[in-house]
Amino acid sequence: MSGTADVLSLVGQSDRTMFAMAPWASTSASRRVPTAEQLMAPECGVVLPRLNEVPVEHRFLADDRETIRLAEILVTLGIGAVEDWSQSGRDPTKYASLTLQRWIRNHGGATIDRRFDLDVTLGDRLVDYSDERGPRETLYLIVDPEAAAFAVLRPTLEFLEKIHLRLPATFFTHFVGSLNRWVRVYDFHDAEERVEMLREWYEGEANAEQYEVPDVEGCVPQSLKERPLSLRSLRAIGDTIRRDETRDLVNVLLELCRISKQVRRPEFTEEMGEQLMDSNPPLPCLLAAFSAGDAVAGCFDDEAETALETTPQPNLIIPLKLTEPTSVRQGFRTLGVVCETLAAASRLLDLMPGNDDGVIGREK
Amino acid sequence: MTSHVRIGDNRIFMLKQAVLLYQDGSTTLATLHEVKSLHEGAPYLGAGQSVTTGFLERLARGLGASLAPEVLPANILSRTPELIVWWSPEKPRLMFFSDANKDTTELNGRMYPHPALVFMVNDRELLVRALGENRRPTADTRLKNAPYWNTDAHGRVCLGSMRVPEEVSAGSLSVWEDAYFASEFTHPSGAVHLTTHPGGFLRLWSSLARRDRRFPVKFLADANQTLQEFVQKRGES
Repeated sequence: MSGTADVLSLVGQSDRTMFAMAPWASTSASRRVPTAEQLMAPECGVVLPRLNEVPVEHRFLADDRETIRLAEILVTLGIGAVEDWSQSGRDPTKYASLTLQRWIRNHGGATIDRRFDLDVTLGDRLVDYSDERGPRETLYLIVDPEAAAFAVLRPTLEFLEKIHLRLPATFFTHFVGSLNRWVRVYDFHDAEERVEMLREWYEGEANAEQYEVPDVEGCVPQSLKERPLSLRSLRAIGDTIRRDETRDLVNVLLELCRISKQVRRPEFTEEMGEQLMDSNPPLPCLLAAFSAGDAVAGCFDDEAETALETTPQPNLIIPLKLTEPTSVRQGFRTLGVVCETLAAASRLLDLMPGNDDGVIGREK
Repeated sequence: MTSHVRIGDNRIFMLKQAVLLYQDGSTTLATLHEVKSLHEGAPYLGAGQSVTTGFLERLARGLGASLAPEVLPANILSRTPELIVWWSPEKPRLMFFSDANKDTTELNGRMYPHPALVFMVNDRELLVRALGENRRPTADTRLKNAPYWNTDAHGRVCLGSMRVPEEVSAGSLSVWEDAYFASEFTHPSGAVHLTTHPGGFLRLWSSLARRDRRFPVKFLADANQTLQEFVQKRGES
């Protein structure tokens, strides 16, 4: 007989066996009824404290006029969903937030999240927490990285070189070029600029030869010195490739190029320049190195140490003029294209050999 | 992609972290926990990490308890994250009075000599005191009441229509002074002894209008306070 069964006793007059429990921690001596404490298994000691009565969200509302106007436009244009209004608790700010989340989700948000760690902000100023906002009735969609994604290029370039001598340069140009159209990619060109700047600094020093700079030139594959093919030629080559993995790689690259060019990048205006006076360059959304820990990655790490000394410029600014609903439509369309471009880049990275480590693990 | 909406002062604050405090007598241990959410049900706390000095520094920065490094000019007397105190030598300044009555209409928009002044901006509140001598005060210097309307016995200025500058820094002190004198003096602010001039406030300023002379400091009323007390009390009784 188990220990638990040993302390149980029968109660009631029926044929069915029933066990009664005494009140917590008080044994009924006359009836030998066990206490709850005796019945319960001892606690395991590992507990996740739950926050049952704690609100998970606080909203601070001040002047809602612009947000209400934006919400009206989003509904009128069919960008905002009706069901999000009740889910927002009839709060225009929350509604705008849910609309933005839905828009990103419908344009490849989950795929983007596999590789990229990005923020999209809908705000009235370009510098977060700045006292100076943009012009009245103008809002901005801003894309910026939380951390840079990582692409290892060498295995892909070596693999493509075996198929066609000019494919590596073609791949690099169109992959990096399509992304650079919307967000900043840190590649060997940036590293070369960094090295050049370091050399200039060291030239004035007494023992200039003692300084060692990263050998960026030495880590750039020779195949990248070839002239890249046009997209038409790439398409033609893609049609002749028999191996599935390679054909998929070329097809997704072509898809990336096509999506990336669907809309024009919004103009960087003088007014934006005034808000971003004295800003650092944008933070890279992707580090495109040839291998982990190479000279390009080294230069990136070196620059990262000072990148946040002053506020960086956003990667992408999409203005929305509330006085012109068409600009809101165009702005969300542009954001959709940016999301789909990033999703295509994420799919391409999935196909590129040697890039398994770049997948971001996220808790659901 | 994480999305944020930041329009105007509207904010949506999401629960992200929790600090748990453990005490043994007077010694306290703090742990920082991520708040995790399930699709349904209440959120729960993740495993704790010891609170580091770096975390406390970030927290303090978030609370505004930090100052950007700046070179302080010689006229600054005290500086903390919440307040800045400076003095301004005697000089002629333009004054504006409301045109509510005939006496003030005649005083409005004229140049007057002013005594040396001590200004304080404390949590965006402006305070003013006057100095009996035209030199940098020390902690023990006894202060005078500023001989101005809209300024109470503690030196606090009723900002009224004054255009309050956005910035509070060593570089914005003249902007605060200009904003103060660019707004209208409209009424006495509570029971305060503004001047010892036998004719009172209006006679003092009418006697000084367009006169090429220094401000007569003998007509300044004692504030019963040293500079040290002024800085420590920050306008409190």
